[in-house]
Amino acid sequence: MLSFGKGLSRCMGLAPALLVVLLLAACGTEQPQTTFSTQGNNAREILSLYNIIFYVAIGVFVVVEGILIYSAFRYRRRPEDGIPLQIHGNQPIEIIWTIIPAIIILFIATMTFRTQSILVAETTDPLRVTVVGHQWWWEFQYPDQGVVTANELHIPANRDIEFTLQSADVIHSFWFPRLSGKTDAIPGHSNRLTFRADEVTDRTLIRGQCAEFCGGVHAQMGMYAVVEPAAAFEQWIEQQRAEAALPAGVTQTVEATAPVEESPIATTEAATPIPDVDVTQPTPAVQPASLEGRGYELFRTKACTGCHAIAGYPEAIGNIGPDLTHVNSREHIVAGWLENSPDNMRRWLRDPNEVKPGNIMGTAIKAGTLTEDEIEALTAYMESLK
Amino acid sequence: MAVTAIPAPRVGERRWWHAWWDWITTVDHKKIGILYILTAVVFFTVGGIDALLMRIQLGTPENTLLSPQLYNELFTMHGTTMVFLALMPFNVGLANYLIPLMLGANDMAFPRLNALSYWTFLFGGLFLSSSFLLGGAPDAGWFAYAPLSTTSAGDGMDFWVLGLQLLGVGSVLGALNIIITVFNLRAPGMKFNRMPLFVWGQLVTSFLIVFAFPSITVGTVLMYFDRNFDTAFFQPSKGGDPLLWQHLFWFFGHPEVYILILPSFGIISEVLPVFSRKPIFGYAFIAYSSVAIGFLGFTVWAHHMFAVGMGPLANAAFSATSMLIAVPTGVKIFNWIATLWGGSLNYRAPLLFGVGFLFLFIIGGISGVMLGSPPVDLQVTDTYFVVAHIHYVFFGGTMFAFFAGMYYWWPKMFGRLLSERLGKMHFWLMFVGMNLAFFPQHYLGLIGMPRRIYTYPRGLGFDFWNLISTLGALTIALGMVVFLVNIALARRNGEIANPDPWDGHTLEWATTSPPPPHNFDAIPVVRSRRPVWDLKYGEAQQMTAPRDAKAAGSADVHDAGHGIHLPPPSFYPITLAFGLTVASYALLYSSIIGIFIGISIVFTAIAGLASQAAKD
Repeated sequence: MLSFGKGLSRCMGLAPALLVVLLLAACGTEQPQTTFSTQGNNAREILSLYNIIFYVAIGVFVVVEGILIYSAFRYRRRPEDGIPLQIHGNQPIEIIWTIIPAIIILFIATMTFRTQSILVAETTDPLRVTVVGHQWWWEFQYPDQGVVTANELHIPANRDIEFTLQSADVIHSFWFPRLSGKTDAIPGHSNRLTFRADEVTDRTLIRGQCAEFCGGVHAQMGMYAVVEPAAAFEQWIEQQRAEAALPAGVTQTVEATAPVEESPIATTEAATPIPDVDVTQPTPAVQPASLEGRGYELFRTKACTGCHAIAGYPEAIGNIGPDLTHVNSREHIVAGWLENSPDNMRRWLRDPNEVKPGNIMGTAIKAGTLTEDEIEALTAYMESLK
Repeated sequence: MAVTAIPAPRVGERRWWHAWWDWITTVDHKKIGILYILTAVVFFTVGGIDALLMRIQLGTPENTLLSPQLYNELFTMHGTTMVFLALMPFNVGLANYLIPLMLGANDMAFPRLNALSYWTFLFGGLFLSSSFLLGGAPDAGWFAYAPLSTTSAGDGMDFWVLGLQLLGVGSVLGALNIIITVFNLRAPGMKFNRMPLFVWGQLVTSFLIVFAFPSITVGTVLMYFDRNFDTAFFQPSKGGDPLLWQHLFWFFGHPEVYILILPSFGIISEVLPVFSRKPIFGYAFIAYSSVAIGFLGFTVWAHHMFAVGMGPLANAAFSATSMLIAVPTGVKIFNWIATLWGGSLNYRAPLLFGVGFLFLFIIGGISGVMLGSPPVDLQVTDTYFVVAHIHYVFFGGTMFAFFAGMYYWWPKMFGRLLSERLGKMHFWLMFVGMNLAFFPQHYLGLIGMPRRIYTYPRGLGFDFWNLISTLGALTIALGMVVFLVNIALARRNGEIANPDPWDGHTLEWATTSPPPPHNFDAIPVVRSRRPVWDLKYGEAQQMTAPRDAKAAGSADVHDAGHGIHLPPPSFYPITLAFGLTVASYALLYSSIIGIFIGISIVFTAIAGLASQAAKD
């Protein structure tokens, strides 16, 4: 997506001369998590500070390594060498090369503190979002809108967002490199992070991922930010507020209670216990006519509800896995690892451990736990949750 | 029962187990130093294999060669092994071997304590490594952040907690021994401001160990309680705080960085002058900047925690102290370059590694200042940028200095020189491999690659540079093979070394290669910073010889031979370390009987040591 020229300027000067040629080869490729192409105020302020420090660093590098390389070559031993002049030191020189680094450091520190003060500036009319890190997915709550979603963070462009960062189990770190520096989500703590995404004309996907080692498949705890114009965001909120409709031909057997407005933040118990899930229950005798209707019944009887919430479906209130109310409105499944497609959904349901080895759903669903028919029906049901 | 330096004539044949028994019961600082170094070479190779497996896994995207669990165990053990079982013992080994020689002493202050330090290190290392065979290695990272570490399943993290306790015992005892030796056993005339800079570096390091290790000891005891007795020091659900662990860990962890690098500064400060044929430039500035770094090193720990939400003010304070360390470090680098300046540089392997150290450490220092800026850090912390930074400091820094020291002091230790041809090959493979492996990682971090991930998806732009990095790691491995071949061949094929093969400056070159058990027939009298150089090149008679046993205050005037008292070999240090290890396994498997047996062995050994000391 990035023009070659822009990519070039981002990469130039990063490496010493001998590596620049090699770098050019890699600059053309897409880098969705690069800190060099910013899409938000926080990341942009950091990048401009980085650039200042980087050029100072390059200057120091060139001068110091230059003198080192010069003296390393210039003074190599020659056959005619006698014993060189025995110099023990020089006080004025020592003072000079103590003061020069001190001045450079003072400059870098001043620029640093300046950027820090910009980054903590007050917000106006922020959108509040609570982020809860789970092993190994992200929960996003919009407390003022009563919306809960997972792994895809929708935010309006050009509006301050105020995040409250929490964790349901171990320490995670919330990081969208193109939007902002990272902040940890720590159990027992509530961290605050604010940033504002730049104006966009169309919805823009930005990739992020967990940056603090959180065990197991930490590598596969990805997420996307969907930055949209304000109107599109409002539309999305409206859509997310709706409860999931029952598939055709299915009757609600349990009395509906109030919709789950804000899924309770799981206790900060470090290891979330996995509920007793009996996935071997026989499927009910009366089979609904439609495929997604059968999927709906399976979702209930296979105890998926113990971990996953679906608004409008009172039994489904679990908070161990992502909220699935509008799962098919998302571009990705499995914490940003797979694109959302029926094929990928089947692959995931067939054997979660093949996709994400050691994930929590994989403790209940192994290869062969679900039959191909059941996978087909569940996939159809998931596809219906728009 | 004191033995003399002249070995008693042996009755009967000398069998292979006699040699083993000699090494197991030795209290000679030189043998202990060699044991430390060779053991650390083995652990370094093991830690390197961990790294190689990880690099192969990351060479291609979405690789399934290693499972996430195994990958997590490998990076945890790579970090733990390299820090505690390779880099620290490399430096302790050199300290053990060299400090008495450089100071003109016959041994360390407490020879049996010295042996105890080694055996706790060896057993602690074996204890930790045995976790791979006993149901799973530690898997929560070498930094063991709670609550991931406190809730990690299996015995892995218990191995880590108990192994670190064992290693901590050895480290603290060793550090105290070094401090006491430096303060008490300097030869006549060896004032503090004449001490070799290697000794200065080791002295400051030892103080750091003594003050930093209590913090990790407390932390790991609390973690053991949290894991096994259901306490809640770090458990947020019961009112504990995971950040308490981070503070305890990094209050140890950052000084630990200086524990790993200050001895290397010492090695470089010895190698550069000898191979430039000049005195070190700015001796006092190099010595005192080590002290400054040592003090400042205790004020910067929370720069590892800029992302935990301490607030901008705390972040700014830790940022300022962290950046400040660049000043004394810069002073050192400038003094080293000034030492080369105007010299007559003899590019043998030690100097190649020495100049390589300077080149690489400068890069690590610069990226360190960048990390010291909290806003920049928030983008690059926990990414490959930091992986690149620490490897420029520890591999380009500590390891290159260690290799410089190996090529420099090997002839003193073993009486034979290492091959120069293999040494140069070793250097170039490592230098090229190191830059290939780690330089691109700066860039990978900046384009958003987090660390500690067992794989990454296609399409993030990480593929190419990861492949290059893996090729670099393979090149480093090749260099390591060359080094191992070199030390293996040197035993038979190495050129015989004379007492002073490099035209050295310091006292270790005033005795034979290898030195006799008692180091010096006569305790030298020192009149300058370069006693051996002065003896050779003027200001004649700077170092004088004859030792008067009575004047030197020896208690052993009755002894025959040189009249130099050396303690007898002792089986108790290894016994004591063995008892501690038994107790550690017993704690791991909650066996009361095992704990009792272990403690009994420990007390028996202590009693034995005490009786030996009384007879001594």
